Amino acid sequence: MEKFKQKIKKRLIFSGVYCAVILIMIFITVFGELNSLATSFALGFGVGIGAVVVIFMWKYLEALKSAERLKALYIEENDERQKHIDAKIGGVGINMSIMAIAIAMLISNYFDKTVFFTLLAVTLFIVAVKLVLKLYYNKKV
Amino acid sequence: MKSRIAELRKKRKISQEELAEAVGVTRQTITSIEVEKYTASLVLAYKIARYFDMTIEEIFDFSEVEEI
Repeated sequence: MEKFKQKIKKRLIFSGVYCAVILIMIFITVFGELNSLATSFALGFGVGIGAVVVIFMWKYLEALKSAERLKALYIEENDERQKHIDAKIGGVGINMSIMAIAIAMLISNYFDKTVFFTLLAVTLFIVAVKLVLKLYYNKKV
Repeated sequence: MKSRIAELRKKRKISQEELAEAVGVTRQTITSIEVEKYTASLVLAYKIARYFDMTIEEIFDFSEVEEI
């Protein structure tokens, strides 16, 4: 459990660094008058993720306060059925995404060549990532 | 895979939550094993067997496992 405690502490540090970066970004955007659509969108996205990070930080801090909560968090994160579900989601989810993007790519071919080539690149990239991961895990496991 | 977990739990008056905590999984995992939706890993089967002071074969029914 000590190893897991250290892992949680590391996560807290990374989360804290992320929140500090977001605060600096807000400061630069507001006082540096960088209010373009792109910077506002990036900042909004960053703040959204930051809100989720803060919720997790609170969860980790609560877990570090008591051994019981820490064990519950450990079980929640290491439950084998949940890991099995996550693996299934990853595998099946990527396959479904490839199929959906490939269909969209074929349809877009009749309307817009730029969209077609973008979707083609995305499809090839996901397939390549899947193949690399397959080769990697075939060697590793 | 069929198992005797529910039967053993009831006999010893142990809740799913208690068993789950003892073997380091969530209550949902124990439920899924009991209703045969999920097959426990070898490590989990071992932990459950040890918890009940029995062997894996005494708890899990391997008769329906296909032989190649």
